[in-house]
Amino acid sequence: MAVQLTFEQLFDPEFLDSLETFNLRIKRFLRQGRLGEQVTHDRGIGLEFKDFKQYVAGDDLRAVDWNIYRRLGRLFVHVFEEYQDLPLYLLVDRSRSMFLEETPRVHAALRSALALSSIALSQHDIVSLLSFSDELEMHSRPIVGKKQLTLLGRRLVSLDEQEGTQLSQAIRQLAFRKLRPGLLVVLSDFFDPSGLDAVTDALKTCRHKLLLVQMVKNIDSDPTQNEDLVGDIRLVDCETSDAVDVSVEPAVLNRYRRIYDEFNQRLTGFAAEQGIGLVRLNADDDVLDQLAGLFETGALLV
Amino acid sequence: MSFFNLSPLLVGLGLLALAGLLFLLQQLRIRYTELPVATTMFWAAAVREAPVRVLRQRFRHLLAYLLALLICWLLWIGFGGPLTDAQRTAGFNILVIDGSAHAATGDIFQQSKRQLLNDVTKYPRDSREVFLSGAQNVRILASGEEKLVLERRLDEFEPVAARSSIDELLRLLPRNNSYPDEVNIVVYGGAPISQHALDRLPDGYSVSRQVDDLDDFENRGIVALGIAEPLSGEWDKVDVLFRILATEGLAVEPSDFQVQIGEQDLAASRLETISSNEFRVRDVVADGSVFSVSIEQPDDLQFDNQASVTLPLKERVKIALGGDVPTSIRRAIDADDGIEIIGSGASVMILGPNDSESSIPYFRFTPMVEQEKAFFIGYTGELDAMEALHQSIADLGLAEIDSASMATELEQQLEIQLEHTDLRYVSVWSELVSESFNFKDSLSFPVFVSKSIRYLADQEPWYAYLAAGRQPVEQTSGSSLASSDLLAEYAIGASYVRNEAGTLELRDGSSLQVSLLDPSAAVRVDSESLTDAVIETSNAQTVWGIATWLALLAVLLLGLEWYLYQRGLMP
Repeated sequence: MAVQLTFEQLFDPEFLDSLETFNLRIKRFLRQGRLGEQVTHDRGIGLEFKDFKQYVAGDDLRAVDWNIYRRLGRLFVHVFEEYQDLPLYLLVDRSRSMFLEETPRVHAALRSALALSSIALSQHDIVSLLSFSDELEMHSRPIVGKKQLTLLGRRLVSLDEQEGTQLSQAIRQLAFRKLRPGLLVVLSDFFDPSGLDAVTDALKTCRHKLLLVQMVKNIDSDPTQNEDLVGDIRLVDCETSDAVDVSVEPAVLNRYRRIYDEFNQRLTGFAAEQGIGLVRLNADDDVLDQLAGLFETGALLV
Repeated sequence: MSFFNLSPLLVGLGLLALAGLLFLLQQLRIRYTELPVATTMFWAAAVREAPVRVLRQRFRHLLAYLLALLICWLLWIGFGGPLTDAQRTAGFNILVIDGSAHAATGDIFQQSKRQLLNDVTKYPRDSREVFLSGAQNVRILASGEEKLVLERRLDEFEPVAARSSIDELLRLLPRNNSYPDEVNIVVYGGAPISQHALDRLPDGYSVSRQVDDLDDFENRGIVALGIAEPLSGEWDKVDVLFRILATEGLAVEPSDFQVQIGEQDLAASRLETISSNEFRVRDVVADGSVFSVSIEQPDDLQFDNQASVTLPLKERVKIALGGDVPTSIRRAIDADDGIEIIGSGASVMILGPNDSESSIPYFRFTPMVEQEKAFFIGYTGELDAMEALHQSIADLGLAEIDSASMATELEQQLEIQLEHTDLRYVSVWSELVSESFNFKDSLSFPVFVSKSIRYLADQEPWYAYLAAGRQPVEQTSGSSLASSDLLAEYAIGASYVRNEAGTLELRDGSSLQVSLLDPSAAVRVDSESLTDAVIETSNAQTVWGIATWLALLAVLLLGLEWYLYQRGLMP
């Protein structure tokens, strides 16, 4: 059984400092929230000049560019960029598969959640922490302000191991709630026993922008790295206890790899088709390095 | 080697060992190591496409298979009992322990058992057999059987009052085609082996002896006890003769033995000494009682200190006469005290030429014009015509007739005609017994009449003696034609009495006494001197045999397989 991550291990100042330069942006955002740093498509009363447009009735007369009127005799008004805050919903998988092995997937998931929360809070976005196993669970009211990052960190480390993975059911429950549209980040291995199709169907019902963070390990794609996986062996599912007797040999390994690759390709294809962000984080590697790769331009645009 | 030759203990141990071996294999192959994983759904799909155990799949785990195959082959070949070239070409060894009367001397039999049990392990198990030569030759240890079996079986045997049957064994062994060309026979005990039996052995057979006789053997033994027709000629009596031999330095005196007839001791005055060791009792009433001689002085062999013979039961032949019986026949009948003429209840009818037919066996005299041959004999039983002819010539006394002079006098050939019938009869030309013919005056005439009547009466035979393992001799006339087969159930072949002394129960409820009467046992004569066997210890026996080495190698390979499996070097 995996060792639970402590707050000190998770809340690493050096790790958090490294996130200072990162921004999280979404491509299109609905105008519903309070003022924040998310750039909307709406032109409003912000500070940053964006464009001109011809005056129509009802426009703010304070935005009329009188110099242009003087030169051209036509009324144009200034258009400014409007910034809003972004509701960020972190949905963390707490099933047993996330807690299996020596470096469990949940460690990387919690670090990623903390990183995304840190980035969001620093740009005045609202962060809500949710988790799921067999059921969806909301852990607190939305958090605002970077000073609340510590609180969020403590809540993250308090997420303990639960039973199975009912991701599709959790997403449908979330979609059913009348939450303000925002960015839903799903941190999971996506090993839902009901199948990937059930998960993708549930995701389609979701009104939020989606960022899927798939937690993977090296042994997922290359089982031979598991030293115990040799010979005739009985594989027991860590969540359902279903057993599969396997004679580990090249032919079976090849079939496993093909099936696992197909799973990833279907998830990738679904994300591409739906315009959903998909990030594949390797729990065996350093999370910060992988995040740095994602934010190499300074911002992750979802 | 056959598994069924193993002792029950070894079979049981073998079964347990196999059970243990298979259990270990089950442990190696069936018990899966459980490993919790998160990706079971992908593995299940992969296994569904390629199940763990299916037929006609690409061969898996070749090295593991070869290792298991090698173990099985080693065990299989090991249980097959392979022999080295040295073992195979060393010839076959037949160990014979004497269980006859010879072995009842002192502790020879116990010595022989000890020596045999000691020696038997020195021969390759698959190239030796053990026989016990007592009343019969019994194979008590087959090739491939364990020594433990021999110990148990030997405990069931003790020496018996029987002649040695080793000669018979030596006669039969070469007929067994399963033996190789080289056969070494080792005899344990002092039973005699005749030079004739040794000479008959084929090339490649050798006989030696391991345990010999007592050096200071002292014994008196009854070696002959027989019955004869009395010199007195009395029809209802017999003379009994017996011989007692003694080893060198011992004398045989009448005081050394006792004679009993039935329950009565014989009066010393009736004992007649023929020679220094032969004695006769004359005119013993033939009433069917038992005549016994017993030596009272203890000696080294007890079996020959007592001998018995059943006296015959002689009874008058009851006959009836027809009205036309020739006078010569009547005179011959009157002269024979053993024949009684009665009115009814007769067993034989005597008929003249004009008498009517009879429903009981009859002796008839017929004119030449009515009968083609001089002697017309109706016989019963299983004999064929030729055998019946030969027997009739002997049993009716025809061989003693001067047939040539009779034929000359009659100017006719004297011929015999036989017929198989349900009722015996003897029909003779009446002219042969007429007053005008010389035959009535010959010495053979009353013998012919007497024997013919007794043949027709179908009297049971009696035996001059019955010695263990020796052919009985019948004494009554007509017995062969009478198809008597009382001894048949004890016979092996034609007429063979069992080899062991004792009482012989007959099918009609009567019994006969069989005695040892073996001079070779009594005084150790006729025993062929053999060289003592030199038993060399075979290298293949002092170290483990091939089978043991193969089994050991299989166990080591099994250990190797377990070692490799434990370290994940093989599936």
